[in-house]
Amino acid sequence: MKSSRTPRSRAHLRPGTRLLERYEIVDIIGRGGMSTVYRARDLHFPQLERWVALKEMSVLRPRERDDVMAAFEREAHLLAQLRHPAIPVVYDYFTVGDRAYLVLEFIEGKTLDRVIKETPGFLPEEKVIRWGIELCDVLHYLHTRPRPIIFRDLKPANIMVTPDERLVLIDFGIARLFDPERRGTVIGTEGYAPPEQYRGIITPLVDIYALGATLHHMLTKRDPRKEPPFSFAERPIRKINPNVSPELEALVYRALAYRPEERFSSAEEMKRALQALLHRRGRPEEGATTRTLPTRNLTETAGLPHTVDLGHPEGGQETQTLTTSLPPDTQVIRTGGTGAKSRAPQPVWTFACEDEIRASALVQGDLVFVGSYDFNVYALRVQDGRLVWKLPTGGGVVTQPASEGRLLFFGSEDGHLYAVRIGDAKVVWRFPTQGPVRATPRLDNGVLYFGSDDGHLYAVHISTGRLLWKFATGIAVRSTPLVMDKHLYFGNEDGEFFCLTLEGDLVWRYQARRAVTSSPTGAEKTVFFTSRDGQVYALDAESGWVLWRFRMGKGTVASPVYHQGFVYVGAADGVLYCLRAETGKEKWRFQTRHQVAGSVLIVEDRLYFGSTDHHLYCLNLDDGSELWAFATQGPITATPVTDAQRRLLFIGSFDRHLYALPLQP
Amino acid sequence: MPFGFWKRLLTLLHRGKMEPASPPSEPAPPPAEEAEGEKPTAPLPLSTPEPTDETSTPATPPLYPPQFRVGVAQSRGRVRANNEDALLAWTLTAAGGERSVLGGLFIVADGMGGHLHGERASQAALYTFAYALHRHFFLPWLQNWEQPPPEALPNLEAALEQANQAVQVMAAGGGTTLTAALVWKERLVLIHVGDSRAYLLTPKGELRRISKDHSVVARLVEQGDLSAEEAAHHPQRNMLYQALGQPTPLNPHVHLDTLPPGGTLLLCSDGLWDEIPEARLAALLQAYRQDPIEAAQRLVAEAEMAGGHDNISVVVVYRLPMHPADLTAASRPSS
Repeated sequence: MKSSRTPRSRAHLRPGTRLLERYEIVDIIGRGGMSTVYRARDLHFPQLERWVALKEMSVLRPRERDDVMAAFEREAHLLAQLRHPAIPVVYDYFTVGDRAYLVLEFIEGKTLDRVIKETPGFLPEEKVIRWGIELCDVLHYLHTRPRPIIFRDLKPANIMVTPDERLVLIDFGIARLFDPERRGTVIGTEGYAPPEQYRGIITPLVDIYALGATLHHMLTKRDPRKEPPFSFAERPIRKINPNVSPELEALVYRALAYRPEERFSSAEEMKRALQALLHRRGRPEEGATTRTLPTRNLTETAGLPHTVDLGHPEGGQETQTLTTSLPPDTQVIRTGGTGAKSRAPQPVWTFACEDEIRASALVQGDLVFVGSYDFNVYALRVQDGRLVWKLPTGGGVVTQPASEGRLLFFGSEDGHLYAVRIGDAKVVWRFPTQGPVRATPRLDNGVLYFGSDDGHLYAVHISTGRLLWKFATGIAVRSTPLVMDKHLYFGNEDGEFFCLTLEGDLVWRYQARRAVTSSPTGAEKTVFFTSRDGQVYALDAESGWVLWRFRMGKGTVASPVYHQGFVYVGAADGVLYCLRAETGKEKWRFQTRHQVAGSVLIVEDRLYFGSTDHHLYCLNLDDGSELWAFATQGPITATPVTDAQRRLLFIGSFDRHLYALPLQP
Repeated sequence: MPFGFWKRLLTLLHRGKMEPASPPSEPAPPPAEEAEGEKPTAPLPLSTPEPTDETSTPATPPLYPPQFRVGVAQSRGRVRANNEDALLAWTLTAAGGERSVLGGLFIVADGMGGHLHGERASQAALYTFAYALHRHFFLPWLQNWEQPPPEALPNLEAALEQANQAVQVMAAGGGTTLTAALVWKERLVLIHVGDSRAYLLTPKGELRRISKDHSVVARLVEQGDLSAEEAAHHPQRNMLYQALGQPTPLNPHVHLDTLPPGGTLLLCSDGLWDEIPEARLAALLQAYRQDPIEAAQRLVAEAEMAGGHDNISVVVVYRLPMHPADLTAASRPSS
């Protein structure tokens, strides 16, 4: 209010105002930086209701006025020479005081922007193709004038859809062209402009890109103005709208190529490509290359709005449910269990136990250890799976062993924790607890930390088996403690989550809604854990402050894994989630057909995990796409492990077998 | 012309002749105020401060409870007619029994939109955001002080959304950036939209940017289409693709970090970082590490001298080391 240099926003003409005794203002239909567009009645035709659009330019700073007005007049003259059904006719140009007016054909209808918004579901592909052709046509006309015109600002908001569904370009950006350069922060990207436009390179290929962006917007209903610039590739059209044909998707992405030379070389070339698509569509879809989705046949429904069919029958490989409010570029949903299985590797060897394998194996040197529900722990040769020894306990072994030096440690449902010499399977000591041990022990600095169903967390000296301390939680502890920055983190079956010092003193506790059976993981002073309440939690390791939570479809007993800024975890809803560790936002998800109870193994750019749908999956770490799935004969609840050289992967199944699969580079 | 700028400039020139270049090497006692209320400032240091005698054994007990020193500074700059920036610094220090808490909320917002929309927008966003966080974070914790405070991200995101709506209602047509850091003990959670930046200076003196400009030009740099050098001079470098006040869904950038003892947090609007290269920011922060008020004022003065094309806002938060003896040690450069 102190600044006298900035004039108040200029007054608009009131309805009823007459200009040149001919145009009577009715209302405002658009407003821009330096221009206002009115609807006006042409009084020279008193018998008719003849509307015109009056575009008003006004310049606030006298210094700029002459230049801007001259340029406005030049553009008005240029526009007046254009004749095309998709370009409004210019009737007149005049000035009143310091304002200039352009009298244009009044185009009835709605902007394409509004049409996209108001269409339930998606626009039919055929309509999008036809409109694309119309736009190519008018762009071609503009680009081939004796003095070529580059529209520069093609976007749905600048396109009118007439009642008979023709498209008309309504804003030739006159005001925008002559906006004096402003310093200071502005909000401005339209999301339709190509990268080179920001470097001042303006060629007809700028319009090709903007047309590609407009088609992308029409097909996906994702407004590029709400997304980071140049991020169309992060929103694959067919992931959002599977009704779109792969051919049209490819065409749009060609127009959207980051490098101008990779786009269509002209609007004419793009038009021909669109026409070819349209002709092809006329015929039955025999040429369709890949999976045909049930709603693909657009010729049937042309003209009707499409809705997305979320419940694809079996065989629909790429179902999608992109309907959440999460940032769209962050989410890709994939489904597994079909196809791709032929590419699964064949086992190098398998080993049959006498009962189910529920727990993960452990590789130490050239031996792989695995416990089974048959009460035994097996030691097998990594190389060929030959049995070296087996050791019976008094109960099922449902946890992963741990080892250090020559000793192997594992818990048993008989209530003991065993320390066994690897060389000869001799029991060095047994530590008794008052309940089954269903938690994998954690080894750290000569101390073994493990939970028991008797409600305690124990700290036991590894060479003597002597108790150092125990911490009572009151209910079974099945979660393996995480040791990070001299603290222990673990949960119990009551949903309590604890942070203890290595001496067993409580630092903080957090109450989740249901059991924390899974084992936490940690990174960057943050601890991540899951609960049967269906949440993934990220807590500040120092204070127990909840940084974020992520709600999964169902609860889980699966432990999260942190890897390079992402957290990977599965749940009883059968989904494997990939979340951003900083925000808890989903990057991608992979749907299996049954619960995911084990955790993941990451080797280079691949991720491996098992599901109770019997499969071991191999996914692309980056986008969660399925590379292969290996079928076993029973549910998998274990986590795959690998040897030090990362040549083999080991996974046990309820089908009693331990499988050794080759890891391809 | 902003009076403060000339006064500062004159003071700097004047002092430059009179005194050798040495920044305060002690965590000085509060300097005596001059008649005008502006304290004398030494010239900008070109060399790092002298290390103090290492043999002096620290007989003092460790610093307890943990504390911040906070400095802020703001200027309209030399070109703009009004100040569209807003800033806020709020700290919480409490100790009792075996328990101590050090927390804080620090915000910079840079409004835009002309016709006074900008200054309304940044303030509407700032106060709404701070109110929402107090209501849903600080106050519930005070009531339930034995527990960790309420969740971080859900509350920050909700506060940002409320700020977004406040701008639309109270400053229709305007927009604003908003960069907010919520600190609890050593944990720092940053949330922001727009191009107001956040930096961390580690105890070892490394400056790290922890915000991400939501500008078209930054995006071109990410894609490898522009060099950082080209971007620094791009005419559209201040064009944002995300800001508060737009009727579009927000996609804020969130970053988790720590503000360890001896570390410094800097929040600033583009009026600062557009004028001063990052190496210079680091040098100034490092040289005046123990006196964040001085650091903030000098940063603003230097941005004004470099052109002052835009409004400048600076918030500097120094977390004191655990031991007073570390005070000088921490301010030494790493190499």
